[in-house]
Amino acid sequence: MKKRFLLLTVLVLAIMTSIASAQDRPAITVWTKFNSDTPQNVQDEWMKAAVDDYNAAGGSITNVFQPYDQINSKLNLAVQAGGDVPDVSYVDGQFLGFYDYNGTLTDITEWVKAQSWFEDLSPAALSACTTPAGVILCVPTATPGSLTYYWTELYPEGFPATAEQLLNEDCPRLSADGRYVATFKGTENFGLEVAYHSLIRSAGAAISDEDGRAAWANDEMVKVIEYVRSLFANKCAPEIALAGGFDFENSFKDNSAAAILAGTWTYVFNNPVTAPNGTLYDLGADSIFTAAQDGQIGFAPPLAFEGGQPASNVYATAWAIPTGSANPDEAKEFINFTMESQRNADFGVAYGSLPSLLSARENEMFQTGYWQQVAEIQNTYGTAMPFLVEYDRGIAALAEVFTKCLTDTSLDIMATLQAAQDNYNNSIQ
Amino acid sequence: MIAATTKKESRTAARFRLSWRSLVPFWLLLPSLIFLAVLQLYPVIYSLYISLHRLRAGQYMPVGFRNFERLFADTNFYEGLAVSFRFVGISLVLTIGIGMLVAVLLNQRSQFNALYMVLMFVPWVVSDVVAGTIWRWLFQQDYGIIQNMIQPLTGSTSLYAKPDGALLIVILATVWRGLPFTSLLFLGALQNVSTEVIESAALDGANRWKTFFRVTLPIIRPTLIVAVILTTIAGLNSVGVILTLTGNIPATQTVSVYLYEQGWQFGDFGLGAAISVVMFFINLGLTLVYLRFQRQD
Repeated sequence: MKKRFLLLTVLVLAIMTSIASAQDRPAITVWTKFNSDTPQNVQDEWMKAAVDDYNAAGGSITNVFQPYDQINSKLNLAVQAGGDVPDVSYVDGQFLGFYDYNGTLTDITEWVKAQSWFEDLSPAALSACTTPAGVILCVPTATPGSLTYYWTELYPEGFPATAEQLLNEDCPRLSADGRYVATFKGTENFGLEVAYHSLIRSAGAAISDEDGRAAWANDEMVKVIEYVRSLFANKCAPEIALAGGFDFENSFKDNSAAAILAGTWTYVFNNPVTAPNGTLYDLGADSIFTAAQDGQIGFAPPLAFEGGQPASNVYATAWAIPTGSANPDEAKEFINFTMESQRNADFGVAYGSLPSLLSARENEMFQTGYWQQVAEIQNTYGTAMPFLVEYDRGIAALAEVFTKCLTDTSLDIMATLQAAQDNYNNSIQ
Repeated sequence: MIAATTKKESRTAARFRLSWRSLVPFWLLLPSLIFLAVLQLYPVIYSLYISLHRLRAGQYMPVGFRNFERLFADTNFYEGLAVSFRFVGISLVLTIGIGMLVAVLLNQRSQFNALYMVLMFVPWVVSDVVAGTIWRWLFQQDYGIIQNMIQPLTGSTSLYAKPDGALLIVILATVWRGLPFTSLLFLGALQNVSTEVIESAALDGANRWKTFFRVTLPIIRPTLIVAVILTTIAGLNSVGVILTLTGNIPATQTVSVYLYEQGWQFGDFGLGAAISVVMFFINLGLTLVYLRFQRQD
């Protein structure tokens, strides 16, 4: 009887101790653009696995899904308004200046430098999280960039090396066949960052001056907009590219467009795809890879003007601890958990970009043709978006100029650029 | 002496009872007034306060009327206003016009009235996001039902890609959403119109059109004014349907969407609040104009 009582007491104590130790680790909230509750793609599935694994390892984390185009502004909003801020959040590296300007993120310089994975970080990725003053505000997890996917059967000589060749030689050839030379998102920030960035850079057009002020009203920028106008006027690109949303992708998926000005992550969302020879690739995120292995899809640097260099817009996806985080220490535990090399590699594949850890890039998953080409394009043509004091506002304003001038061809491009530039510069004073 | 004091006290007590009684309506209204002050007045005053500040890193910095100067120097604001007035003007005419027509039809006794009422209410109970998504799919380039029907007429790849087309889709969705409300409002008013008045007009030789425009419409005019005010305000402040349908593109960037962009997307609370203050006065001005029409009755 005594023995039983003793055993029972020990058991109860053990349970209580385990509960107490579990309670020692506070529950934390993370904001991401990944829907781990009802996964829709491999990104969401990665997040679901990360949450499950972290919680199984004794942590307690809840993922709150935020729309991809709102997460950065919502995070800033929560901090500024003194609302419920997450303990840790996904952030896009392009917003570093915006976050720095608003004091949205915690300075984690010393902590990052003390971590075992610090030396393993890609320098380019780290710089995307470091302010000009040397303050580290986020932990980079991957480095997405822009490139071009094309149907090899429709470009037997490879994707044209210049924008002029695409318009003057390939457009008449493909139009005769009822096809577009390329599809792309022609509106909003996404359009500017992915489709127009390389054209702007290769034309030699300025986006900002040294102080982060807009410098758009220049002849080179006019040339870029006139070029894109020509693409639509000559039916080289589908008009749907000028609408909001992502309907433009369908033209590539059904091969009515011979190429797509894409990001390294495009394979995650663009599936299934049908090759010009009629072969259907319906393998989820592997559809593009399989089509590429079959020689149906090729990859090329972003579109550029003759005499200019293509520019792959490389930025960083990252974790950050917002100002006002209730549990910064546990947030750091979670970041450490995701920065384990294999998990970082898994994230890279799921997100659709090279991982931020150099050791993760050595993982066999990144030794395929696609990733080798992504690495080559980023190493050769990788450039970050220029510094703008208020990145989102600036890019949105320039994207609006593109949309206005492309949908209303009677608009004076230079005057529209000048007005938008003045508006932006006036707003940041 | 004692009698005089007692008389004075009783007079004071009577006066107190009188003032208490006269204040009864105020006491009865007080809970509602407090409720309104907290939910309506406070946000307005707070918006005004924020509009005179710049918020950076959680700190308020007074900037005087700088946010208003920036706003009035921004061409996007005027373009947003122009889009707003086009959007509100067209959707107002359609919502009120079609709403009245539907109400008149429903006012005729029919065995299917109950079914019509249920069907008519579907748009009213769905959220902005659902409504936006439904209309987006109707005009989707590849499998949108309406888009496929109009393709031979418009010759356009997608109505979305045209600035006027995108605005038209937003207007159609907004009218669809607003119809149940106006129809029900008008139906209620029509059912209160005395049949004797209508019959008298008929006996005097007025045909249906004349009866409607000369007799019925003046009687339900107060309801019409309320519907116009509420539809105008709802249109001016509409954001959800627009963003779901077209995203934030210049063709459909109303002043409300512009407010959303500046205040929420860019985190510029000062400018956002300045826009909201201007919008408040626009809404107030339009309401006063409409009410003036009503008073002229």
